[in-house]
Amino acid sequence: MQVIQEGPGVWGQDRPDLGVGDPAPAFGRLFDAHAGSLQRYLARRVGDDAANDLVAETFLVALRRRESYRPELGTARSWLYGIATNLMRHHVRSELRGLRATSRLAASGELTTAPHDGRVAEQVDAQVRAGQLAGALAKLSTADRDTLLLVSWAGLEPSEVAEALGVPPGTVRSRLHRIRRWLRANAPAPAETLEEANDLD
Amino acid sequence: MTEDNVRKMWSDAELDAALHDLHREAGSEDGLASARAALLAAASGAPDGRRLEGPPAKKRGGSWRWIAVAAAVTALTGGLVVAKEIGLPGATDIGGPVGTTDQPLVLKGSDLPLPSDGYRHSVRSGWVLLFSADGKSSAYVEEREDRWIPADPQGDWWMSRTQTDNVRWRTGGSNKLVLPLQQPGSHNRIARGGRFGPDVATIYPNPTTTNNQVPPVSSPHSTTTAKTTPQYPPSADWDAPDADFITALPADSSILRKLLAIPDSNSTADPTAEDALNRVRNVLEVGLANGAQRVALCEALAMFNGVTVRENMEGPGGTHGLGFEVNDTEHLVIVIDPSTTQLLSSTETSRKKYGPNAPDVNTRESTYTFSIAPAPGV
Repeated sequence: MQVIQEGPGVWGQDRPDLGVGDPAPAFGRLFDAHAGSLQRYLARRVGDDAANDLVAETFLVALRRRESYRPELGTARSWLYGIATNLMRHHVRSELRGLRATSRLAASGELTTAPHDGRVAEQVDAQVRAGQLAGALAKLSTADRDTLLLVSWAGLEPSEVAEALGVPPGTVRSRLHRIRRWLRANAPAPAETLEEANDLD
Repeated sequence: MTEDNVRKMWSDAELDAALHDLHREAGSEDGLASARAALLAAASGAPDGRRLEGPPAKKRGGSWRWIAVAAAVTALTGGLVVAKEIGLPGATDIGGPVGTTDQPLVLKGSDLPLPSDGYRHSVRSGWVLLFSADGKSSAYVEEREDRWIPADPQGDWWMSRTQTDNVRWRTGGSNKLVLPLQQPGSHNRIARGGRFGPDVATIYPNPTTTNNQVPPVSSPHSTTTAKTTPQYPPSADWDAPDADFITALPADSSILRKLLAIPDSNSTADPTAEDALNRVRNVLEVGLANGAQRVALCEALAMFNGVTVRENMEGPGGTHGLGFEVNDTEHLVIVIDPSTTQLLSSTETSRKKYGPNAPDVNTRESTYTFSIAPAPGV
């Protein structure tokens, strides 16, 4: 977990008191600590350009609502990812289009047609497998996709995901278990991928 | 059951590996410099928080990214329709100014010089339609709202709301009008940083009756108390913009356009054009937003679907300027002065039957003035 150097406080350095004093230094530190990882997470979901906009919006909304941040209820990181997750709601269609495109790419067979040496073949297999997963991710509900990817891509602990999404930690854990079980059972095998990708349209 | 119809289940390791590999090439921090600059400008309340340009974002390959870019272009095009119609600055970036005007309209956000001990003084005055309790009578009641904001907007804001006994009967003639105030008079309040709320409001003598002296505040502790034991809503929003909210607004129309489209914290519904216009009006009428913010707000509003921009529009009180109009459940119009981007007037007209025998009537008309005052009440 990244640490924000906020000075001594009741709640610790990853839970800065944002409601007092000049917000600029505190938000500068927040940005430096979290913007990069937040951008990478969002870029994996909606692409670089939209991710940059979302990062900017996330921190501006955080600044505007800084008095609503309650250190006792969660880390600044989970609060920021919660804001970003809400803002992501406007990009769901874009994300789904991206996932379906990846799925189609995997289904097209272009990645497997050329002869490769063992290492390249391994990489290609990994890409194909990721593409297969993309189609399945597109079938998840937005809340389930948020939960899974906040853990897998953003690296949040389930307790932080709970803080970000405003749900009990137990709900996150049971939701994760259910999602992973569903994905393992329903992510398509290679032969199914093209059909699955077409079904998504 | 044959081997063909037995579906292979992924292992946890396969699932984790696929999650690890999916879209892992994405993520370029090249575009973050401008985001950081915009954030710090907004956080420091810089007079011009306009988004600073950072290094251009690195373009990467990948088919799915192209789709995301296409989606972004589509979104931009949605805004372009309005922007092109009025030829606002910025339209040239994505297509050039064409449409109903021959010349691009240029909004200027000039601000009056404000001494360090001075106050921004905004006045909203006009008429509001009120109905009697039995619904048989309706009348326009004259009202006026004065607001004084110190040079340091985190200081004490003063607000005086007055309803006169000047009444224009519209229907009937009942004296049993339901008035927000029980009788004509002023309702005066003070709140630090504009965080007005029932628990921090302090009634002080009518500033207009104190011979232009600063209203004696018996208890500045009310604001001190409010700071130490806050009982006001922790964060204002578009409906009740305070110092924190307004100074944090970026002077960037594209960001503001997106902020205008975000639902309130207590709502899940996307804001309508009506909401967007109300939001912008709420901020502009306070008189705290600086020139760059006002220009960006109006540009953002112009990009909002459902908002029509009209040149040379007339408003109540003989006002005349650039009009922003929404025709939805209400017909809302604000008129601004394009040379200052200050609010001149606003009109609210019900589009539905509003009270007995009162379809499509103006429910509120307001005009605005903005000036600098040496003290509250002056």
